[in-house]
Amino acid sequence: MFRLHVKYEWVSVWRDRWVVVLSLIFFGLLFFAIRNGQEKVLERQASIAKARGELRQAESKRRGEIDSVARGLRQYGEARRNPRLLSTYGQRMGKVVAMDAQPLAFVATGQSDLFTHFAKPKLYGEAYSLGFSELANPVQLLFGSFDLAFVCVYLLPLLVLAFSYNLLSSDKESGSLRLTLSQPVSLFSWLVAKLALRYAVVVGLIAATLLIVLAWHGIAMSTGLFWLLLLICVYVLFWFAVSFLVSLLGWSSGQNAIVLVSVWVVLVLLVPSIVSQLANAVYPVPSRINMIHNYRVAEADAEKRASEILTSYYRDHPELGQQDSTVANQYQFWLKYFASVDVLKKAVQPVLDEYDGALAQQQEWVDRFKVLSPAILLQAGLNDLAGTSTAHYTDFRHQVIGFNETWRNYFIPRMFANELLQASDLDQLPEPRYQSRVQPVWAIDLLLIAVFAAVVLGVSFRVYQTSSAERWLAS
Amino acid sequence: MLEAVNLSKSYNGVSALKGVSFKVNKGDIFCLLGANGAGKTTTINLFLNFISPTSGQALINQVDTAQQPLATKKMLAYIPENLMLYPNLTGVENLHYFSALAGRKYPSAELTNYLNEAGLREVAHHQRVSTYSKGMRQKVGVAIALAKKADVLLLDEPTSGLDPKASNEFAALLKKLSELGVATLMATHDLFRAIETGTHIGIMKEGNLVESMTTDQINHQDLERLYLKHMN
Repeated sequence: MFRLHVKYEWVSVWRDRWVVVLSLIFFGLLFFAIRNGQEKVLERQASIAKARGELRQAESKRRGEIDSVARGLRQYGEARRNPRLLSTYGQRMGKVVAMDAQPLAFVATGQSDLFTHFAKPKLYGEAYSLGFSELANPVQLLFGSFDLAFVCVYLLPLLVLAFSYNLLSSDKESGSLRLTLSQPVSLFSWLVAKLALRYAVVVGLIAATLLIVLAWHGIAMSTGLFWLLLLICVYVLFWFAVSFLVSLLGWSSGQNAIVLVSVWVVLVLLVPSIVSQLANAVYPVPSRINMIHNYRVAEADAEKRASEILTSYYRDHPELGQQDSTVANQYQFWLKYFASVDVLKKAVQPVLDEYDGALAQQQEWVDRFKVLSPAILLQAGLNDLAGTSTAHYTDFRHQVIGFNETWRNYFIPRMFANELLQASDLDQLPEPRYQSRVQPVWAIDLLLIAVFAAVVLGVSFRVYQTSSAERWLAS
Repeated sequence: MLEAVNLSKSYNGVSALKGVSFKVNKGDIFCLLGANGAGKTTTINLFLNFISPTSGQALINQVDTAQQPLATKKMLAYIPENLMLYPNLTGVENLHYFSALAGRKYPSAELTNYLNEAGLREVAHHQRVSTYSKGMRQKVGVAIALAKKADVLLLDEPTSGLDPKASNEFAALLKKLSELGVATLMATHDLFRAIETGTHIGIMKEGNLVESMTTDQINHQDLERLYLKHMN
């Protein structure tokens, strides 16, 4: 019986021009979205490759200069032009710490258009913001990028609803439902069969389009792709379940359409923006202006007391003290600066902590309330799979800050010891090893969307059980 | 065989059907006459289990339609006033689908036979139903009744809106089914067709069956007089 329903539903769907047109439009949207996403990934990879290439070139040039100067084959004029100076090398030749795109990065732009994907450590300057992004950047939940995530979160439900909103009501309105229900069939299994076929068509369409477009763009297949599809399929199931429930309530096609679009507006537009707005209202990010002001006050104070600070700095770090105090340290200027940076850091740390804390609280808030809408859950899951979530960029930022410390810790003690670089030192420099330490959360998102779908299906079943044929046949 | 036993239906306290009883035997065609809202369609809907009776029983071959709807639906065929099929399927496909729903599967040659028997021109068999006229769709409905080997046929104003020729063809089909032993219950406004085709006539008014007779007891003029008497 189920197969019979499915078979003829398939014939009907296949012969329906509207369905074919919808499918073509959807194919076009997916194609364009994946292409967009992939272009961004290629741009990102190209910018990283460029930075690495430039550094490699500069390094080999510098290595030659250092070697020539060390062997006395080359003059460099003024002292500050000496290529062997640790201060110059440490400042200008920082290693590239890069966040390479994950295999599924094309899926969701996520935060990738807000943050940089590589950073070069420096000995001084940009110590706090590290040029990652605007400090006052709020936790963004909704993005304007036209990527696969956008198509799936926003447009896919509309396709599903357009495909299913009048499944029962059109048969009721045309009158064929009376003929169907005069046969020994249960309305439930009949409707389930019709929806199952349409579900299979939508899911098949997504899978086929995805594979075709990925092959077209030469994107490698990975197991992540399977999880990606599963995540989307469960989301699609949720929307079919909503449509199923509304159908069972026995309203007209027009009423169904209005109700379903309202559900879409609430779950896809309203809830995410309310959660995001509330996050800003409840945990406001401290003003960046205040932070810069505090930073400058501390900086001016530190500059005034530079010599005093350096003395106390030596007292705190006797291991850095120069062996031969009769020779002036050629890095004197920098050392004072480093010492003041330390003071500065302590002075502005509360401001930075407050800022970081507010961001973390916002994120926590969003994580807690994302269970309010399958749309937020899917967006979060896709960002996670794509490796472009806030957590990924926060982790990257921390790793960059960590490497920046490692880099300084290599140079600063050597500068206190008044050393110069050897060509052989260049092989001993610390190397960044970025590896994402973010715990994947998409499986939880997947599970929660599945719970949403299960609840709606459960309610549908209950509605069916407590209804009689009158509900669906009454005009 | 089809039987209404003291059948009543009320909606929120308003009675639509008030204890109606009648019986349609094998081969009989029982024509229900009455104004709109007299309870004709309510009676048919009760036999289809589209609604549940407030009291009384609607029996098909002694089986209560409210108790075992799936069993009774196997035994009946239904042709509403405006029979609608699946527009994107052809006549043959619709027949295959609906007869298979009733648990009867036929090879396509046999489906063609049923459509021919119902008088649908062969050239239309493989056209989509969206191109069919109402008369053609009614013929597919009859073919479904034939293919389903229904014992009971429920008709709700099947000839309204049909041209005289189509209406005449439809009446001939009903007679053919009746000869096969099908018990037919037909709600209609067509007094002439009721006398011509029916074996029994019932007149309904405000939820009651006010008259019941066989067609050989009455002619067209007398029936019209009787009908108008009740309506005034």
